[in-house]
Amino acid sequence: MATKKNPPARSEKNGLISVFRRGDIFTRLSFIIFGAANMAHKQIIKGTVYLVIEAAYIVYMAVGGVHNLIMLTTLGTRQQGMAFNEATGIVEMVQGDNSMLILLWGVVTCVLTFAMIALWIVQIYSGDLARRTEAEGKKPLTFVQDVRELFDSHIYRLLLAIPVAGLLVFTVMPLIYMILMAFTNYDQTHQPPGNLFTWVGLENFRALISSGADLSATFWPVLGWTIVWGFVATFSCYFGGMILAMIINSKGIRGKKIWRTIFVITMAIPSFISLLVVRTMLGDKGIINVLLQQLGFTSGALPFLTDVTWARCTVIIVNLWVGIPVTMLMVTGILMNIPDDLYESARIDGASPVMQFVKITFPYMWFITTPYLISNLIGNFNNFGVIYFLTGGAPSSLQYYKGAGKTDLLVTWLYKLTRDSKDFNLAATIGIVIFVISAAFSLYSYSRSKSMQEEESFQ
Amino acid sequence: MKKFAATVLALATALSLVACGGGGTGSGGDATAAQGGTAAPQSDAPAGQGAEATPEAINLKVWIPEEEMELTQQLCAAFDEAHPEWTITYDISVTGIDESVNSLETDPELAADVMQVPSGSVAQCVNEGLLLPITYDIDNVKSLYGEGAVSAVTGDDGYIYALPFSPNSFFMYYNKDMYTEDEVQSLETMMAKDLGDGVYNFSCDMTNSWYIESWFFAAGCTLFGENGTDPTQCDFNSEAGVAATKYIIDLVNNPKYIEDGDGLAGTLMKEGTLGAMCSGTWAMGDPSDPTSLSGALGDKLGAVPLPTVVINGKESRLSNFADYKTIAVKSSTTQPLAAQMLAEWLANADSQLARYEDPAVQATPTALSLMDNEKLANDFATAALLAQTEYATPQPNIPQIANYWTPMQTLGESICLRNEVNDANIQETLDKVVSDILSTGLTG
Amino acid sequence: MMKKAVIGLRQQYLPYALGFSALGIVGMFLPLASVGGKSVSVLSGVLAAFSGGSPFSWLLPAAAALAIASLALGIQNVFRPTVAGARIWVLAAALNAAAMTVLLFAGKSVVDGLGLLPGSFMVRNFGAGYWLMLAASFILLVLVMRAAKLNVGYIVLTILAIIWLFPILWIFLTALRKETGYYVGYFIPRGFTLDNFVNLFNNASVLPFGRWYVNTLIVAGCGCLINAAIILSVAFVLSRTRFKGRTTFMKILMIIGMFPGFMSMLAVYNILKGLGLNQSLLALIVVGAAGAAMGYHVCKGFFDTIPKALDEAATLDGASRWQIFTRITIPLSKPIAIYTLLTNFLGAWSDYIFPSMLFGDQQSNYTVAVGLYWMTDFRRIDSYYTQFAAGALVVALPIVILFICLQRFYVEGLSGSVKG
Repeated sequence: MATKKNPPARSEKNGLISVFRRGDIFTRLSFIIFGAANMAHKQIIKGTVYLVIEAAYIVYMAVGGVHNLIMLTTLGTRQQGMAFNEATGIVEMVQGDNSMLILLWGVVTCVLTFAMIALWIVQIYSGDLARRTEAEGKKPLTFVQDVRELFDSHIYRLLLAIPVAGLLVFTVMPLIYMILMAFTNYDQTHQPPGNLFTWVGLENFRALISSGADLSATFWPVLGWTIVWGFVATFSCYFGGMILAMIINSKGIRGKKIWRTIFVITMAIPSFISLLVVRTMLGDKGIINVLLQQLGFTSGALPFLTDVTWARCTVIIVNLWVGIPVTMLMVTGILMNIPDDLYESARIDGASPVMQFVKITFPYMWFITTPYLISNLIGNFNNFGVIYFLTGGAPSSLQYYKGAGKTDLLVTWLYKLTRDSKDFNLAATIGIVIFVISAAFSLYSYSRSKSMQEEESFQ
Repeated sequence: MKKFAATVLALATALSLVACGGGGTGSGGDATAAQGGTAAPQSDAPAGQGAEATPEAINLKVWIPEEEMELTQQLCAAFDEAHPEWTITYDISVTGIDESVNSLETDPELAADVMQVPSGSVAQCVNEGLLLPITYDIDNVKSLYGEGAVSAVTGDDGYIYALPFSPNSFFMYYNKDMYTEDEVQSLETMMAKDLGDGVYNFSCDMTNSWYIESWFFAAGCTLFGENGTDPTQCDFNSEAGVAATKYIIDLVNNPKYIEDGDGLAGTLMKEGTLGAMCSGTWAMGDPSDPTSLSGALGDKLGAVPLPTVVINGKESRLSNFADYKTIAVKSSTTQPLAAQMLAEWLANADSQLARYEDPAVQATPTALSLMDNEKLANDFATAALLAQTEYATPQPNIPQIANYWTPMQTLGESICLRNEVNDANIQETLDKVVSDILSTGLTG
Repeated sequence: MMKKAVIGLRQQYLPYALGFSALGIVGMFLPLASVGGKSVSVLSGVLAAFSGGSPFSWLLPAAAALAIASLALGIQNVFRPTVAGARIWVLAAALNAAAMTVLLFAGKSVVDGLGLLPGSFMVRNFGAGYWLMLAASFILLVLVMRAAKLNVGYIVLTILAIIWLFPILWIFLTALRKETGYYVGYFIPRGFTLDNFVNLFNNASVLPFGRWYVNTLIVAGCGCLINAAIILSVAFVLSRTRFKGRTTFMKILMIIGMFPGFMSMLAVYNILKGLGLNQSLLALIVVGAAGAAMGYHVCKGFFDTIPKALDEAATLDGASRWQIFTRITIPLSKPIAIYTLLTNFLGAWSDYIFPSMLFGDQQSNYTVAVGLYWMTDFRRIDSYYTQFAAGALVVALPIVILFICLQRFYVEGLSGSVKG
C-alpha cells in the first residue's frame, strides 16, 4: 500500500469541541463555512466542493426545504373543498393540501438535512487533518492524491458511493415514510387528496393491541404459516438445489451443460407467468386433473389449490420447481471453489461419498451461504410473488379477518388490507411489527453465524 | 478527508432533490395559483355561449379503452365543431376502464381530465376527492338516463360524479338446442331437465362476489339498508339470507351444475356440454370468429335475463348488481368546464348510439331515448342486458362497499370449493360474513 | 463364475442384477391387473396385444420382450463379462424401465383398449405382477449401471428433467394450439398453428408486443450490467477490504430490505417523479440499480473463499486495490459473475408489480411483463391465452440463449485457476 495516514494519537481528544479549541481561525470558520479550513490549507478543490454543496443545501432549504419541514408538523391544514363558480355556472374543486406528499417531502428534507450534518462533521475533521498535516511540516494530500487513494486504500468509498446513494434515496427514504405512516390516521376515511390525515401518535399500536379476537385470530395463524412457509421453502430449495448441483457436477455425468440448460429453461420463463400457468394446470378442470382422471389415477378432481392442506403443500412444491434451479445455479459456482485436495485426502482416508458430503461439502457450503440463507429466509417470509400469483392467499377462510386466506403470508395479507380497505396506517403498523421481528431474528442469527464470526477462515 | 464518497453522494442527492422539494410542497402552495389562473380565462368564455370571443387554446387529456380509440377521435372532432370558443389539443391515450382508477390514484396530476370508470369505483374515488362533480346543465343531462343509472353515480352529497353510458352486468346465455325460451325463465325448470350424459345444465361463478349476491337479493335481502346508503346495515344473515345460502348449497352440489371461473363455462358452452351460463356482453366475441362464443354457437346462442328461483316458497327473479360504465372528470383538472362538457358530450345519446354501432365497441346504451331503437331490440344480447338491468339492484354507492367483496367471495369459496357450510353452521357463517362486511377497520 | 476381473466393470454387482432381471420375469406370470374380482396376467395381456387394441398396446409386449432380452444379456454378462456387453445390458434395462413407467400412465388406455377386463380401469387396479416388474426394472437398472461404472445420477436427472419440463411442454403446446381458450380438456392440441407467435408481433395497434420486447431487452441489458457491477463492487469491498463501520453496514443492508416493498411503491413513484424520471424506462433501471446492493451475499461468500495470499502477493507487486479487483478477483469469479448477471437479467422480464404502476398510460414504455399480465384480465384471457403462452416462450428465448453463451465461462472453478 502506497501511503498510510497516521491516525491521531489515541491520547489526544478528538471530539468536535476539542477540534474547535485547538484549531486555528480557519478550522473554527469551517464550523460555519464548509471547506474553509481545507481551502486555507492548500486543499482548494476539495474545499470548494464542500462549499458548493453547502450553498446548494442552503438554496434548497430556502426554496422549499424549510416549508417542507413546517408542513410536516401538521401534514397539511387546507382541506379540499368545492366552490360554485358563478362565471361558468359550475361547481369547481378547490384543491387542498395533500398529506401524503407533505409527509414524503418532509421525509426527504429530513434525510437531506441529516446527510448535511454528516457532511458538516466530515469536513470539519478533514479541515483539521489538513491543518495538522501542514503544522507537522508535511504537505496535505492534493486533490489528485485524494483521487488516487480512492482507487486504493479508500476503494470502499469509491465502490460504495453509488450503491449507498441509491439505497438512501429509493430504500431508506421510502422506509422512513412507511414507518411514519403508522403514526398517522391514514385510513379509509382519510384518503388524500380529498381528505387530510394527521399525526395520531401511538394510537394505531394501541388499537392493534386492544383490537378484539378478530384480528389476533388472523394475525397469529398467519404469522405461524408465514414462519413454517419461510423455513420449509428456504431449506427445501436450498438442499434440493445443492443435491441437484452435486449430481450434475459429479464425475461421470456427461452433458453437464445440457442438463444445466434444461433446468435454467424453467428460470427463463418469468416466474409470474409460470405461476399463473401452473395455477391453471392445477385447477379443478386444469390439465393435471384432466390427465390424472383420463389416465386412471384418480376418479375425481384433486383439490390442489382449494383444500387448505393440499394448497399449502402445493405452494411449497411449486416453489421447489421455481427455486431449485436458482439454487442449483448458485451452488454450482461455489462447489467449483471447494479445493480438490480436501476431497483427495478424504478419499485416501476412505470416506464414503455421503461422509464427504457431511464432512466437507456441506460445512463449506453452509459456511459460505449462511448470510444468503438468512436473507433468503427473510425473502421467503416476504415472498409476495409466489403466493400472490399462485393462490392469491386462497383458500380464504371465514375464520380470518375480512377473508384473509389460509396460504396468505403476512405480506400478502397486508397487501389485501391496503387494497381492499386502504387502511395504510394499520398496514404500516403491522408492517413495523413484522419488520422488528424479522430484523431482530436476522441480526441475531447473523451475528451468531460462523461465517460472520470467522469470516476469514477459508481464505 | 474523512468520507469523500459520502460527500459526493450527499451532493448528488441534494442537487437532484432540490427540484422535487419545490414541486412537492407546491401541491398546496401552487394550487391556489393554479385555481386563480384557470378561473380567470374561464370568465372570459362563459359557458359556451360567448362564441364571439377569440378561441381559447386548451389541452384535454382523455383515457379510453383500446377499442374506442378511433371512435373517440371522431367524437372529439365533432365536439370541436360544436364549440368554436375553444381550440382544444387532445391527448387521447389508452387506459382501460379497469385500469383508470388505479392510475388516477397513483398520479392524479398526470391522469386524464376525462376518463372511463366503473360505477362501482365512483364512491371510492369520490371519497378520495379524485372526481369533479358534474354540474354543468345537469338537469338536462340527468333526464337522459333512467333512475337506476343516475342513482349509481350519485354521491352521498347529492352531486352526480360520473355519467353512465353503458350498463355493465351479466345475464344468462343459453343453448337454444337444449332449452326453450319458456324453460329458461325458471332455474328450477332448467335444472330439472335431463340434457344427457356429460352435459351440464347451468353454470355461474359463485366464488365471485359480483355474481353470488343475486340469490340474496332474490330472497329479499338488502345490503346497506333499503337505499344502500347505510353502512351499518346488512341483513344477509337474516332468515331470507339463510334460505338463499341453502339454495346456493343445493345448487352447487347438484351434479348438473358446474362452477364457472377463468372462462371455463364459455369453453363448455362452445363444446356443447353446457346448457346455460351467466356472463356479460364481453363474452360474445366476434360472430365471424369460429372460436368465439357467438361464432361457435351461431344461431343456437340465446340470451335472456337471469331466471327466477323459488326461495322460501316464494318465486322471484335473480337480481344482480346494476353496474355501469361511466365517464368521469378528475377533480384536479385545470379545465373543469371544458372537461365536463366533453364528458357530457361523450356520454350523450348520439355518442352512445355511435358506440353501439361501432363494430369494435358495441357498448349497450343507457339513454332512455334510444330504448325504442329497433336495432337494439333485435340484438338478443343487448336486449337481455337491458331487460336484466330492470331486475337489477343498484350497487350501493358508499365507500363501505369496499368491505363487501372479500367476505362474500370467501363465502362462495367455502360453499363451492370446500363444502364447509352446512345446516349446522350456516347461521354462524353468515353472521361472520355480515360482521366482516360491516366492520370499520381498527380505529373506526 | 467370475474368473478374471474386467477393467471398467464392477463385477460384484452383476449376479444381483441378474437376480432382479429374473424377478422381473417372474412378475410376468403374476396378475397384471384386476377389476371387480376378475384378473388378468401379464402374459395374457401380451398375447391379447397382438390382436389389436389401443395404440399403446404394443407397450406390453415391448416391455416383456425387453425383460426377456435383459435376462438373456444378464446371463451372457455374468458368464462372460465385457464392457460393451454391460453397456448393451444397461440400454436394455433402461428401455425396460422406461416402458414400464410409460405403462403406468398408459395403463388405462392399454387395459381398456384390449377389453380384457370389465368396467373402467384405474391405476390402483394394477396387480402384483405389474408392480413387481416396475420395481425390479428400476433396481435392475441401478445395479447394471453401477456394474458398468455409469453414474446412477442419470436416472435421477432424467426423472427430474421430465418433471421440470412438463409445465414448459404444456406452455409450448398451448403456444402452438390452434383453438383458443383457457381451459381445454385434453393435452395434445387438436390443431397446430404458428399464428399465436405471428399475432403477437402483428397486432401493434392494440398490443405493441415488439415494442415492449425491445423495451424489456433494453432494461434487462442495461440493468443486468449495472446491477452486476454494483453487486460485485459491494461484495468485493465487504469481502476483501476492512474499514470502520463495515459490519454495521452489512447489518443495515440486511435489514432495510425487510419492510414490505409494495407499501413503498407510491413513495418511490413520487420520488422518481421529483427526479423527473417517472413513466420512463430509465426509472426501472435506476430503481433496480438502487436496490441491487442488497443482493451481495452470494458474491461475498464466493469472494471469501479466494485465498488472501493472492491479494497480498499482488500488493507486494505494487498493485492497487482497484487492480486487484479488476485483474484478480473478477477473473477468478466467473461462475458467480455469470450467476449474478443472469439473475439480474431475469429480473426485468419477470418484474410486474412495480412497472405496472410506474408506466401509467404510457403504453409504449411497457415491459413485456406488464403487457403479458394485461392479457390475463378475465375478459381477455379466453381469447389471449394461447398468445400469452407464445409470449412466455418468446420471453424465455433471450435468457436461454444468454445462458448457453455464458456457460462456456461458467465451468472452470477456482481450484483449477489458482493451481494452474
